[in-house]
Amino acid sequence: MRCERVRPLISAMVDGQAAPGVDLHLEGCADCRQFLADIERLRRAVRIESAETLPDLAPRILARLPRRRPAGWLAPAAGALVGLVIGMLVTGGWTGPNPTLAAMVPESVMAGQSGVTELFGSFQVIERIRPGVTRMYDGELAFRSPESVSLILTQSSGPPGWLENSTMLIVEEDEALAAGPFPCPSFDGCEGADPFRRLTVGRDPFSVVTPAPLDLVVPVDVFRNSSNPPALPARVIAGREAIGVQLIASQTRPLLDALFGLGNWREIHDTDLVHVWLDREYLVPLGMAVMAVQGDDRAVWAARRGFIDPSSSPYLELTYTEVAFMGGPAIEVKVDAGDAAVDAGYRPDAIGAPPVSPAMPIVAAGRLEGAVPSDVWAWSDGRAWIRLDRASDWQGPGLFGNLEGVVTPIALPGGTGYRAADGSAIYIHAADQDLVLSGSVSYEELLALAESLLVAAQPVPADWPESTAGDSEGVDLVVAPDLTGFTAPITKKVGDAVVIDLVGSGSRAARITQQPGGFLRPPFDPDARAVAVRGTVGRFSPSLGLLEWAEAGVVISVASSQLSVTELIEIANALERP
Amino acid sequence: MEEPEPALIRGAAAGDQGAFAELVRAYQAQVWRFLRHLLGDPALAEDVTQETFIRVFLKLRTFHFRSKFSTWVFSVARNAGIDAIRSRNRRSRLAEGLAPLTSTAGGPDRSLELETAIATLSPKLREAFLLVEVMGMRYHEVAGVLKIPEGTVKSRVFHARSHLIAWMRADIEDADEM
Repeated sequence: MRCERVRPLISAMVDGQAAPGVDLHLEGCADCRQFLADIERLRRAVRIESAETLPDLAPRILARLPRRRPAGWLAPAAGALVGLVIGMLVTGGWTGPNPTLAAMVPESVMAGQSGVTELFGSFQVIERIRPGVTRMYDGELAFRSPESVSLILTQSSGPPGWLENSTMLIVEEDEALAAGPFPCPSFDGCEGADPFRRLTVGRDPFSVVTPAPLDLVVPVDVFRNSSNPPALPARVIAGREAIGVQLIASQTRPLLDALFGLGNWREIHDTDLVHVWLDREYLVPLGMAVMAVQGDDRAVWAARRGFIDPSSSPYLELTYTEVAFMGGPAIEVKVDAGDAAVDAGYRPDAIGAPPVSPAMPIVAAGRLEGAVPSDVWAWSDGRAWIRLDRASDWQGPGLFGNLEGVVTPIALPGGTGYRAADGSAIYIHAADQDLVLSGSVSYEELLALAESLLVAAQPVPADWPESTAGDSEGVDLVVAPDLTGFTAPITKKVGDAVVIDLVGSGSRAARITQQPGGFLRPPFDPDARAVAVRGTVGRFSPSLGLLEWAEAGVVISVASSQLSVTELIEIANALERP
Repeated sequence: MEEPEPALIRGAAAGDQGAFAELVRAYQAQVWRFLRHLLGDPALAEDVTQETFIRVFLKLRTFHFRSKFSTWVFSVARNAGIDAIRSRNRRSRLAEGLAPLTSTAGGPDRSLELETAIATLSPKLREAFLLVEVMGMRYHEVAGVLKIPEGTVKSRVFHARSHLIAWMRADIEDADEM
């Protein structure tokens, strides 16, 4: 064989491919033996190269991710409320918005969530995608405390040729079934693609990975941190009086995700208005309308997606036609012969008495297997719930159970704990155990429970992302004290980056990152646009909620899923040299 | 490279940042090594590694287990790397494939020259060579990452090696002459 034919085979042979006849050639050819030796020398040289170490980039990457609650899917639960006496109606007085009632909504939602133990209703959804292109759905929701939910949406009309967008989500406590169309990136594509069905067993109670759509029952996560929402004229929906409030989409995500988490729905812009009407007595959302707002960012966002949404009428609407607070069908996960189950790893177990005693009945106790096994207890009263996780072997880095990133240290009788940005969880790190106390109840209630724990709650180790140790050294810019709306900033160093977390009222949170660098890297958001910030040209990426610019050898970013670009620029302008 | 548990990938796709962090930690070193050689610049490789995982997070719901997860991650990394090269070329007008060497981190002179040599390979040869030589991938895996036939992978790796060996030999001859 000629050397030119053999050399490619030698190269392939070194990579483990079959190379017949090569050995024979090599025996008689010094040049080709040299070639083989050169390939091996090259390999060693490259391998030595590769032994350099890289710092852990995970914290920096996590700091740059869009901050959004996981959009899981709920199982159906049905329940009915035993007849409550309907409150006195103010006859003839329901023509206009009632700001007093509206102001009471957030508090009433938090307090009233234990009042709904069963719910059963039918509703209609209208989805306007483009002028002349509309889809309609018949929906059914059923709930029974503690955690059985059935949400079924059946498309009743829409353009021909598109995948049918009917979805089903049934959660029956530790089992759940989700079904829907193939997740298609375009409305008119994916022809013939199979719909999906996902069965989960061993589901942990009040799971955040596969959450039940409980905000459709009482929208606790929407109203937890809002105060004084503007009032809307009241309506009568499905024969029930309903109070109206105006919110914006970014605040309403938990409710929108509960309804639209499964299926191929049109997108909703974070700044769009959402009008929600809640049953006056039980605070169940009976009506919802999403409307476009004016704005350059929004216009560009809509143009890129082919949406033409007038501001005057809703492009998404939900309206109940019937509702009852008692009775309804049983909620069951019905498994098909072909269903393969995903095991989430939770098993009821006799794990002993919990270290806290909430004033609600205990509904679950067991072990959750995972990277680190943990004990889980759950309590529930109506739609309200509390959960405690305890791990004995958690090594970090990062607080056990912290999925949201931004936390604030808090003082506990036993030391230091950490509060999640939206107040829905408290994390505790101790020498021999790590705990997460979470729930749908108010932060004050969780705090009272955390304070009753006899645990030496320690500050996290310096190398965990939540650590506040070792800050303020070599910090380039700090936040001016006159920036209003946020608590004292928490600063830490992550590798060569300086990260400042701001936590504000409600669940407004922003993360400021400063890293050495001269210029911005290419953007990954097709909607990114140039903005003027601090006398230079920066970039705003709407889908990441990220404002970035470079100054004096440092690349600075301000990221938040809740704040508008104007507010991000306000924060940017509040940065100053110490 | 060991495949991650499907439950971990699904958890990360559902928004579980703890699961996503595990995926990052499982692949960040290899992705960086690959990008470091592809781009010839360790600092730029760090940035593009971060961008790669952000893209992975945003696209994770579109991963349907039709290929190996590692293959998918590397194709995202490779595309991010190619985008960075094109963007850098637009800015600096250097001939495609030449990377300004910004790092003299440790290592003997030899390693600097090997980096230069790798940088002079065309991106097509360079990426195939790196995936096989640095990442230890089999030809069929590389074919999956780059979306080319196996025969083309074999040919590109061979041509890359021939080029680098010729470079190494010229290097030795120069050293001898000095």
